[in-house]
Amino acid sequence: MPLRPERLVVVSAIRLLRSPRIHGVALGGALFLARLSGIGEGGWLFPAVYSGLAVAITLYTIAARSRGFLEYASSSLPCPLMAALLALGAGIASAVVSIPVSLILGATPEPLTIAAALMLGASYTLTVLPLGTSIPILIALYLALKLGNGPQTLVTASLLLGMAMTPLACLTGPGGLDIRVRMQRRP
Amino acid sequence: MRLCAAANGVLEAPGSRPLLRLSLSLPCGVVAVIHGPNGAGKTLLLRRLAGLGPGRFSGSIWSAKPRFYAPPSEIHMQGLLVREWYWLHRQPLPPVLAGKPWISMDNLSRGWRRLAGLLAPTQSRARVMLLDEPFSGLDEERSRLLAGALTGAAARGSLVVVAEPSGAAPRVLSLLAEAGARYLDCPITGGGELRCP
Repeated sequence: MPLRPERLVVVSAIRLLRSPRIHGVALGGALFLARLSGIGEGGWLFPAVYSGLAVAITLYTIAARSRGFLEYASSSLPCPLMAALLALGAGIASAVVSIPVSLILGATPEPLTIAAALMLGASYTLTVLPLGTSIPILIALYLALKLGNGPQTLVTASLLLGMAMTPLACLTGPGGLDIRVRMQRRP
Repeated sequence: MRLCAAANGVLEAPGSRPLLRLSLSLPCGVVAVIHGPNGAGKTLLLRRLAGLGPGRFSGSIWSAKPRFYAPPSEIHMQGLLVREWYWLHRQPLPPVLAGKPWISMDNLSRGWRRLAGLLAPTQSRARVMLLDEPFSGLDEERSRLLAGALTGAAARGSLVVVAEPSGAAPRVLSLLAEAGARYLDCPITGGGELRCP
């Protein structure tokens, strides 16, 4: 195959790590959401990784300007594999960025977890679903947070939602490329 | 001769509008140049052969794997160096780019960017290469280099399908002839029909 899948992880991480704009938005977004929610304490590693992954996927979605590349990659690799590889690379890059942030924040790992949950949910819905469908899901996530189901529940739910949505998006539409189509619509 | 792509049926544009009646049997080891006016369905056909949407196809359509589709826009992942783009494809840097390995793909001129982006996958072992207007934005020298690369890919047994607007087709066909390619001239008729060969 033209693209080397194992190398796609590395280059997508390199791309994110090198982009100052993505750094700035990733750090700023994580800090902003951490400040917004101010509850709880706990371990820092998993929230940081969740947060990193969530921020990375969100930013990758928003900043996916490489339309031609996404089309090219979608035609040469199976859609779920491509999506997973890009997300893995983005996750690695963003974990590298966000773990120091979580260490600096120190006493606020739970807000990071919540931020991660929200951003993960938002990222997946923005990525794979049309606006009309993503709004109710975002509202549901917001209500889950307000009703106090607990950040861990929310994280789990968001992760499951995300994990379910990626293959589903890949299975729908001709050639199973809804992810690419949605990404294409981002500026 | 071994087939690398085939299509028989009607390609419909989004909205179920019949666009193109097709009878294609494309063998491996050639460059097929599909050309026709704007809006004739060239891009939709290439995307369909690559398994991408949109649009519908009534009939049978198939192309061998591995394959790739290069849209008219730039195909490289933004933010990568020339060297990294070739590393991603596990391809050596071609001699023509030997002086540019540490330059960001984004900082190359449009023509160089297009050429650098396309040369990597065309050196691969993809069985089918679907290229949408690959020569647009390339000057004569860069066009000759690309024609040479496509000729090489066909000589290694790949099917290269090139879509070009009618006006650009004679130039592309002459470049391929000059490079010594085995090529097929596949025009889309005014009635929206494509038969090839």
